Amino acid sequence: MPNFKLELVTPDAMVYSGEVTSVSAPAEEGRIGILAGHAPLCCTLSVGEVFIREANGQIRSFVVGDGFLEVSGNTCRILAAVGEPVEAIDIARAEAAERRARERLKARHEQDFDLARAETALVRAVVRLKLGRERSSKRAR
Amino acid sequence: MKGVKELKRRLKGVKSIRKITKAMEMVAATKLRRLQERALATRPFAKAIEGMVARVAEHADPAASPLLAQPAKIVREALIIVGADKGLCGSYNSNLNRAAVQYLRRSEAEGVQTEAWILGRRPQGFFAKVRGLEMRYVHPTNVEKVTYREIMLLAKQIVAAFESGAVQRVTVVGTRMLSLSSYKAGTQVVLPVARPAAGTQTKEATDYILEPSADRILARLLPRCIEMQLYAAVLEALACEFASRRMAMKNATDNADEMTHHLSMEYNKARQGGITGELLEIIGGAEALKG
Repeated sequence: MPNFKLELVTPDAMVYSGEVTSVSAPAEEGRIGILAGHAPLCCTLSVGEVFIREANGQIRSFVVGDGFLEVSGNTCRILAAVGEPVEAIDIARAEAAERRARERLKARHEQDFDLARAETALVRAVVRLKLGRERSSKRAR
Repeated sequence: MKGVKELKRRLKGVKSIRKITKAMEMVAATKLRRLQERALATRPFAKAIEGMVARVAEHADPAASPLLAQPAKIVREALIIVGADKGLCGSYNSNLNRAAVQYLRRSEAEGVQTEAWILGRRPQGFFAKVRGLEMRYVHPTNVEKVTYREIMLLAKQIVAAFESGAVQRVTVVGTRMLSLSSYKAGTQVVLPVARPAAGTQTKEATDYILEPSADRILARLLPRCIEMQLYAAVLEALACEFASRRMAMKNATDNADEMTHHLSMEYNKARQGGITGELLEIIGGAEALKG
């Protein structure tokens, strides 16, 4: 299968850059798949998992939070506020983040409470946890 | 013996100052390296998001996002001043102040009111005294410790001020790096977002799929882009500050070295002069006794 270039970028780092044959990403209106030669596209992503198939056939997955995906030319770019390989998820940290987000949601009547932010934080934590746990149970087997 | 004690005291003073400036130079050099790395790490994201904004804005109607709308008349402007917390960094602070005041006088002449959003203790003290400038926001913590989250919250407030029509333009005054050793204070307009000039359309212009729709993408993309621009501006200003401080402290250390050299020459001469004088006295005394 023909290759194309994928870049996964966050504000702090270039998380992934390389040749892939397919990408599957959680677009806001449903999961989309990208192959080489895709028409120019720009879409928003929700929190979730991005699967890629590398040029050598290996499948890798990343968790992204709140971002964008763009295809232009033969390059696919994913920009996300948060993005990390699934194997790098720190379950303890994600659990702490989930607790924090739930507490924030409980304290929603306080001043300068940002519902959208608290909800995104919660979703992000829950998705991270789910992916992280799936991964570690797979490894245990 | 006159002056020897005095010279010794000064020599000691210069040497201990040199120790301090040397230490400050090394601290600034370390911080500079760390900040440069941080600033460099944001580059790919900043570049990618700017490209994306340009391509999406090209296909969207100018009315698609309030952040793209060019106001008919600018009545009030937000000036974001990115400065340092401390002095002892050469002309860094005064250059920034001069650039900001110049800009302020120009917009005053155009009849624009200005409110200041300030990051950094130094500009905070300086601009409190500048006339025709209203303090709107002062960053509560040290700029040096800035995090992406803080900038995100700040950008949100700025975007809200622009969207509500409280200000019609947002400009950043900060120091930009021209190369590793030269920097310049300057201004950059962040809002309204500049649209690519007509006639620069790329060949992909005809079929570009936007999902869910241009205005919804822009509503999420533009605030992100502004956050990123601010964050990059702050990191760059910080890198310039430490580059400037390192240079200032290096010059101070070099000057101290030179002074130590001169003073020790003088000290040695004075000491030798004293010894010679004493010897002459002893010899003179002995001669007198013999005679």
